[in-house]
Amino acid sequence: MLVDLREVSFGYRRKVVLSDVSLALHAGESVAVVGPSGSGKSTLASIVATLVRPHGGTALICGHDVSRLSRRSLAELRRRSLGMVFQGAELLPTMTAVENVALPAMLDGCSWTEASARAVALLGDLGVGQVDTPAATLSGGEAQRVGLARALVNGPDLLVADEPTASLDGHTKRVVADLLFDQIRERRTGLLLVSHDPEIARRADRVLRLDDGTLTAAAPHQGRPECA
Amino acid sequence: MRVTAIFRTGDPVDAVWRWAVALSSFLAVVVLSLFAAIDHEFDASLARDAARSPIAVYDDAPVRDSEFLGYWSGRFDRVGDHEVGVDLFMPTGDPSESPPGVTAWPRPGEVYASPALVAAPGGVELIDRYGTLVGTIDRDVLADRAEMTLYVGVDPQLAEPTAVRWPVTGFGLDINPLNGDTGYFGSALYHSHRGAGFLLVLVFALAPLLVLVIVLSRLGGERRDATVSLLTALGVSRAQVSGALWQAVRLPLLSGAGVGGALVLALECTSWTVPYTGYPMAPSPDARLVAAVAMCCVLGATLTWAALWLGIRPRRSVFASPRPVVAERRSTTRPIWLLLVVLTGANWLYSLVVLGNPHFGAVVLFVGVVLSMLLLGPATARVLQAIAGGIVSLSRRRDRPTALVIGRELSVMARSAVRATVFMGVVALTATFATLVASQPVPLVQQARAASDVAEGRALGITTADGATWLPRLAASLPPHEHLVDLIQGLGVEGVQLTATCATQEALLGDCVGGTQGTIGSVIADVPDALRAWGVTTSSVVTTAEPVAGLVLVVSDNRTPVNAASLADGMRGLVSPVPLISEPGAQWIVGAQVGLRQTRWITAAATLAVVLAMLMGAATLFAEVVRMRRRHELFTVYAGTFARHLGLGAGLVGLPLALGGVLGAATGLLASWSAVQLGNASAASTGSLLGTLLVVTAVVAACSSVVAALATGTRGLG
Repeated sequence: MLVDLREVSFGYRRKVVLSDVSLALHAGESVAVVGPSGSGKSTLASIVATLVRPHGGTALICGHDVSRLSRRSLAELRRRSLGMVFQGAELLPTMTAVENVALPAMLDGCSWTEASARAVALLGDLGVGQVDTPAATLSGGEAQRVGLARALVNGPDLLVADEPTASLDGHTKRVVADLLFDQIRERRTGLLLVSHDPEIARRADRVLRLDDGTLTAAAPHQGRPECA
Repeated sequence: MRVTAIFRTGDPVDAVWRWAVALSSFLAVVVLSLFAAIDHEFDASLARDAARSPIAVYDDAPVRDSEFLGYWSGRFDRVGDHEVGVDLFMPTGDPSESPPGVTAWPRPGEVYASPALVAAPGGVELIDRYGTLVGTIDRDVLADRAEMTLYVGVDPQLAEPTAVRWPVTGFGLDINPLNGDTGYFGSALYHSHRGAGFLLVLVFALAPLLVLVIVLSRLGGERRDATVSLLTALGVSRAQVSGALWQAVRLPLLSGAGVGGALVLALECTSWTVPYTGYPMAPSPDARLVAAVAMCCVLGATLTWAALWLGIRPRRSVFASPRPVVAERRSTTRPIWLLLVVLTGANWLYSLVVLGNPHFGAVVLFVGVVLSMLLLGPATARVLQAIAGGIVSLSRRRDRPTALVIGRELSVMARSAVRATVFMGVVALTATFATLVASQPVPLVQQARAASDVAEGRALGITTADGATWLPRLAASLPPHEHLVDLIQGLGVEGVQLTATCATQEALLGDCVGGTQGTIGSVIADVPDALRAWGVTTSSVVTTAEPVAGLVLVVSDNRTPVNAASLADGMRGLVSPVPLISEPGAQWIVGAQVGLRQTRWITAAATLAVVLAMLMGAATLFAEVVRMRRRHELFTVYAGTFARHLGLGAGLVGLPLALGGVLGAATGLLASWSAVQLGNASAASTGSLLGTLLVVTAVVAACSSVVAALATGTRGLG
């Protein structure tokens, strides 16, 4: 099991964000979490991505209890088993696309030659041609694809994507979502997708709804009926 | 609408900003208090000095018996390279008032010495030369604790009748420092003047402080600017913004000022030594000083508040972000070459013209420094860009991910990093240049040192009054290899003239000029080293006669040095006080030490300036790194170890700081190179000066790197 959250809770000062949340995610499975703004979706993603520790309960990520791991071990877990895709890509703008993608691999001990070769191949798979231009000059869609490549460069078991398409236009959104789901299926990578976009979310194997810090199975899609 | 809490956020940068406000306020009070402290210390030292000065009657005015205490005269002797004030007292009867700091007038053969002289190497030997030590002079009456002085009792029976001495009617001169009175005794005379102290503080402390206060007040300022812009658009008045700002900073602002004021007063209440200068500060707080420090507290806090308030710059676009993300493509190395050309040209031209036209040489020197200052910024930018490029290629070749991030980020930081370091570099340049050039010994001092080396103690001078009838008895008591030669150090065509007996001439020169007069060249081809050290040449005229008075040399005719202590012993039973015994050029060497002590204040002030400039550079770069913090979050996610963040901090903050300091100091050294070389090495050690600058640079760079690593490496992580 990649993710095993048991009665996890989290709060900021007096506000309870997550309350007794339990979640299981298996290898190769994709789970989408939807919910209104402020419901705690990003906090849940951060706990799964080991960026924050839960205040209560147990969070086992790839078999490791994150509350018991040191900062160094957490970083190692992130590098080796987790990939993260953020809403704004979060690239280092002064570095080139290939350097951004190669960085986690280099931090994990790969040589530049090997890391950059891996990065160039991944960027090619994702359709990014300008690998040697500074990230600051990339378009939103290209930047998000570079962000996805960076998340995949170390061959993670689990991908955590926090609103990966929220800042993109309709067409680019679909392209990035296609690439995301194609890649995880091809690599049999687990996916925890946080999104408020039902169109993207329903492509996951399971859709869960987070409301007032409580996680429940999502109701069937009630949106506009599709044309025949 | 209540807006009092708008500047109070939970952001760690705001916490750093509040600490910076406290530091700024603290430093402002300390630096402003330097003016008050210098003024106070100068007055206090002068007052102590004046209180000890004898009230002497220098003209022929009659002195009433009831007022007459005795006779006094003064001279300067030396211990090592330090001057010693010697007060020669000859009481008449039983004086009603003792010299300050002792309980009685010294009787014939008795000596009172200041504690610093007793403790100084060679001090006891000098005291023994004048008589028997019977007590020390009270520290409280000395101009400062380091003052070296002697009270010597003169024996009226052995006193030279023609020696100059003045009747004394009391002690304690009424002086007015505002009229330029500088006292007479002790070291107050030698501590330069008040204006020079103020100028040093103005240039080396106040100017860097103002820049530092502005920089510290702007830490994290972009976010506050944005908040103020938004609130102003919503109708918040400037008074409300001002009130909110006061709410946010009043505690650090007032605390910093309070701690600064308390520190200054504490320092005024304790005994301590000013670093570099060796100047001893004695506890001397008074109500006037406390009032002055209180005023400095108010001024310091006001200055910081003004920087904070005037520093708020609401932007046209609330969410504008001026951070660069793409490196500038400027690879020309022209500024570096131009700087090297200016430095080489100025040095070459200076060495060419300085001997013939010293004034033009000085102009060349200073123009060179000004041009170097102007070129230092662009040259530093190119060097930093080149280093950034080098780091990127090296990081790829050596598989160093942290270095890769540093290289890429530095390449876009070049402009801001240079802005931060150029001021620091200019300060380092000025500090190096000022200290090295100001500490140049004058040519006369170099000649004096050379003469002293040549003489090797084989010729000592004794200064006698006219009609020194005891000289023949001294000559008779000397060992067979020592002889007396009378020396007249004239100027112009006559030059140095000697008077010596034929026997002495034969012993020293191998022959006697015969008759009454002749040049040395007529009897010997080379002047003996012992005499040459005193300026004697082959064209010096020798008169065959007994030495009578003035400057009389005791010269050894072989390589055995003349023993000053034995010489003093021999004279003690013949004359009182024992005449001044000196080596060739001694007065020049001692005079140079006085100048050097003043120069050490330049070094101390320059070091303070470098520290302030370094803090300014560190604060600017820290702010830059904090602004870029969000970019580094992803690095933080994967990096894991503090060592990697420390590497990032060292690369983005420490490296530019170190570069600014090193380039500034190196440029300062090169700008003063010719002056130092032609001056036959500056008196302030170049090595120790550069060492100090580099240590300060390294310490500030290391501390800043750690702070930057702590501030940027812990965000949002478990």
